[in-house]
Amino acid sequence: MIVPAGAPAWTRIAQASDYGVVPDLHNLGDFGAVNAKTDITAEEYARLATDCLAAVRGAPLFWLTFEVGAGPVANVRQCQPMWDSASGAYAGATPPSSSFPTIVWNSGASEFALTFPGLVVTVNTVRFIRALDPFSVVGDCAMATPTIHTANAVSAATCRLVDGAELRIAGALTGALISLVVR
Amino acid sequence: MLPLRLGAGDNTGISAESHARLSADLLATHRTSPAMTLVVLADAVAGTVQVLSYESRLSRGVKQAPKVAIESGDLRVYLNTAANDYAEVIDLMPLLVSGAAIMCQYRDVSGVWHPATTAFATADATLTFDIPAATTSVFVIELYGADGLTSLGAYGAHERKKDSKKEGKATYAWLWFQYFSSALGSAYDTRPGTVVTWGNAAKARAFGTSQRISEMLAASATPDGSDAKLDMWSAVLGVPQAGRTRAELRADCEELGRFPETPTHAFLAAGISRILGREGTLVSITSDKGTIAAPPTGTYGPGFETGDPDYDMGEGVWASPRGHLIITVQPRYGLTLADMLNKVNRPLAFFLDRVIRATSTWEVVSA
Repeated sequence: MIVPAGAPAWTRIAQASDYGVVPDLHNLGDFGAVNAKTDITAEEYARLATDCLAAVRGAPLFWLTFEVGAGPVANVRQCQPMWDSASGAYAGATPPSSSFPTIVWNSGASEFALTFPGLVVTVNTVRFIRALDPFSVVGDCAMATPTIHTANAVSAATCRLVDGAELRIAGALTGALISLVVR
Repeated sequence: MLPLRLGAGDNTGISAESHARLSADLLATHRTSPAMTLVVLADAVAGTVQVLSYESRLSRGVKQAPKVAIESGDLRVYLNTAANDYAEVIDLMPLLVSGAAIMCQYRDVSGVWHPATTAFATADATLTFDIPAATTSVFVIELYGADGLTSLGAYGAHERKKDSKKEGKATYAWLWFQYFSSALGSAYDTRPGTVVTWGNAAKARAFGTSQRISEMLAASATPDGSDAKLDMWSAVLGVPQAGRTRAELRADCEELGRFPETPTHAFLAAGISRILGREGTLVSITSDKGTIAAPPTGTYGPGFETGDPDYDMGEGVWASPRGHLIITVQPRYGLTLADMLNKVNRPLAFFLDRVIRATSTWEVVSA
């Protein structure tokens, strides 16, 4: 098994060199494709890798949708993080694996708390999320700039970050369908 | 083989590690990026709506946009297939709407942005947005959804991908190119881009490719490493190609292709029946010498079957008796002899050769 170069996408520290695009990348002997219909040149590969790099920098960390039932309880319809395939529906308190967040109601604060219990790591009191890529390479990240959208409800939900590993969602939300995108 | 990988170093080659990182990051990005972005101008006074821009994973441009309309004072976006005329929309949306995340805000005439109030009906995949009365608004709608279309294998990467054991990181072609370039001597033009270097590169690629053929044949002996013979594996193992990507086909064949060290009657029968499909029926598997699992007494197999070593002729050849399996099948009525032979001599023989132990021979007979 190989260990890929660089760190996973969600660390946002990827360099073109991680993808094999070094400043002096060139076609051997400086001649291009023998057959343009079947071959890929160094220039084309560099464009592919650079565009991937641009997409990686701007892609969300995860998105999810959940419905708020009486209680209130959160029932996740689907969650798609960068580090795993999309989930199916699950109860917010019991995600199918550590790749997906828990969403539980905090009655004292009257808000939902969203965390990744199986992925949260604390170093020097700072909490962040640590996930593995398909090759078991470790990558750390922190939640940032959440955007939220409320459907099927009268009032809109609001959300705030507690830190890089926890997010809170508030509002009179029973019956609402919440969409959340976190970068 | 990438021509740029003709080289052996970082400047002219792409390593498996770099390709793996690119593939994994592309997959991660694909998972969470918006599947659709739609910008709509809604005029509540005139009751008209205009799509200003539309981008999705499979298409772009306003002509490809899903149907939008103002109905009952609401802005509606129809993501269901029945309401749309375009194949791209029909292909994409049903996959996305079941758990899709929707982001929407609108800008009023004074340029202030507001969160939109939305209703989302999953049953008919329709988004309904409240629009401010007696004004014109620009809605920006983003849809995030899992289409399930992409896996790491789609990019040619795999968790167990590695450099070739034989070729390593410097390709055979690179070594041949070095050889040809140095062998021609200073009398020949050594500048890049000349007919000499093109000729050397062409020869190097041809030689390098031929050198890898034996490795390709070895890799094709099992489904997990097979590409050239993957079509045969899919026929042998009865895995339909329709609806599967190349990587999915390989993974499913690998799952079914884990042959037991000692075959059982049930395993053989299931495999034979799967290959015959609707073309025939397995009647029986009998043996006139030995059994499916064990050869006749005294059969010698160097390194794997204790028997009489006197039968060892060296180089893995031995002359002891072997078992013999008779596989009786009933061809479908009306099946031509040519079609039956095609079935027996290709996928069935391919399967039996790999499953039945070397201490047994076999034949297929018609009932």
